[in-house]
Amino acid sequence: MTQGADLGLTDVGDWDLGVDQSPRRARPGGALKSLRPTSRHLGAVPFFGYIAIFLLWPTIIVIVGAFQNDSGQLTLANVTTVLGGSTYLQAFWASIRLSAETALAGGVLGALLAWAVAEGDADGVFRRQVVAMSGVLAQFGGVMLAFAFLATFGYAGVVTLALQRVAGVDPLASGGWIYSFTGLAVVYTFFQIPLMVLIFLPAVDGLQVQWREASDNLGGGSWAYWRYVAGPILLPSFVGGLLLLFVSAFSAYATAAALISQGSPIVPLQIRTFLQSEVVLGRANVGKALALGMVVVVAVVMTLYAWLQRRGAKWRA
Amino acid sequence: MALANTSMFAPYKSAEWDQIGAELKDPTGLWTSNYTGYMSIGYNADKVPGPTTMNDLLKSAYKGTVALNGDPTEASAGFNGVVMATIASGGTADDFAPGVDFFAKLNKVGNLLPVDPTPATIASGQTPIVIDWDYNNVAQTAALKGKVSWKVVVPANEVIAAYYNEVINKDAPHPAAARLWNEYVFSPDGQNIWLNGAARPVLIDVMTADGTIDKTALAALPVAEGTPVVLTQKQIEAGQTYLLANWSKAVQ
Repeated sequence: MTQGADLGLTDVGDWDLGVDQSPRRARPGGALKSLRPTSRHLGAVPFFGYIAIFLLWPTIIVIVGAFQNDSGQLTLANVTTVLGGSTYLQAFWASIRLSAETALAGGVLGALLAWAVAEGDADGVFRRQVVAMSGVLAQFGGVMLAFAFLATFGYAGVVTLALQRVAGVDPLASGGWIYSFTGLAVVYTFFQIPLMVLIFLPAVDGLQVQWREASDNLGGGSWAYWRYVAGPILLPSFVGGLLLLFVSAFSAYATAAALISQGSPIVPLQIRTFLQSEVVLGRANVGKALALGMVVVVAVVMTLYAWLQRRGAKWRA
Repeated sequence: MALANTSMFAPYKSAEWDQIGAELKDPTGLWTSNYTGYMSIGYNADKVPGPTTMNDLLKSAYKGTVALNGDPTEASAGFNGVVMATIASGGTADDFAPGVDFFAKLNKVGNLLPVDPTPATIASGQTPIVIDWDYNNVAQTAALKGKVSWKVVVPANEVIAAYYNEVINKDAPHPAAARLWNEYVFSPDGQNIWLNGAARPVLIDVMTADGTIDKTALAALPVAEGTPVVLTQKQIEAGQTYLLANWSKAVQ
């Protein structure tokens, strides 16, 4: 279950405005200065090992495989198949659209919720509930989430049957929306909102009361405060959050796999076809070419993210 | 369907090998067809009227009821469902376009159900019609007896078969055991085991003629009228290519 949601959580720390992330400044005194760089980085070896095995190695397999044929010779055929096949380009477009739409919907709703939480009592029940719920629901992706929606809105879902029997309305009369692109968008937004709360809350918390007071003292109203103070400070965090949500939806597989059984409209499902089909054989490397395309899209998004993060870092204490 | 690895097979001809049709085996004995199902329409008789042909499924009575077992680019049952639709639409196995068009139409009129059918969806009534191998559908009839009236029809003159093959691994650690197994599965005893699972063994006609067939099991099979269509390797590959390029668009 590679819910991209994981990605968001590992990055939550980056958005915590209160934490100084520079190890050199964080450590008081000069005790570590005498150590040579090699031994200073020794503690990070397990981390780099982990990254090498679970991130770099699979990426290399995908990149190399994308340019090989079934018997291991170099070829461009896989890549040209993907670029020349309108089915695959459509799948990329659908994936990008789905990710962008759900990132925007989840991002806006999540940011509003985060703002509401930050405005409230710091130790209040509301805040604790929302943060705890977000922590759970942001990880509540994949097959469980798909099942929850099917059991509620599917053909034998509780709500569907209740509406049919009690109200005499058939919500699925015009087709099974939940099994289509619309259904995917609704279900994805469900895990995007809590993810945005987790990512964005530290940024909103970082808004100092003094800034508002200073703005008020200088005669600025609400509009001026949001337009010239809070808005510019929060914008990099907000857009960065959107990018993380985009990647989270772009890489999600299990939710879509559980919901959609025909036509493989998005890229992760197209890749599945090449890896596990009992009909189409010996073309796994076209799947790798599709995966390479996904790597490229994610690389572009993460570059934007890194750039935004540097901008946002300006305001950290 | 995997005849891509014949270099890893050892040729072998069992005692009954000569009685198997030439198009159902490799001439040197590298692979031999063993048994098949026929593509069928399973339906919940409590919920929908019984269809007799694939084209019946386009009627408005079947709105939101028709499920295909698996995506045709991934699953053999789905793939052969498209073959059945192709034959039913007057096409041949050389060109899958009529079959894909059939499902596009089925989707457009709102009859195609985008649910992957399982025993659970059949039992709960979510998939009132399932296009699948007849032995799978027959198994559901038995499993749901007394709960759901699950009936199976093999549409007349739209009969599709796709055989499972027997091969022997060239590097088998116990080469004699593999060959002995081959002798057993092609013997009347072995073939009748498939028949008892509602599959159709490759020697079904030979055994019916010489009386070694299990008559009770034979009588329990769904009635199938017409010559079964079996695709050649070339037709299968052409179909795969066509489906990869067109299926996704047809059902969206």
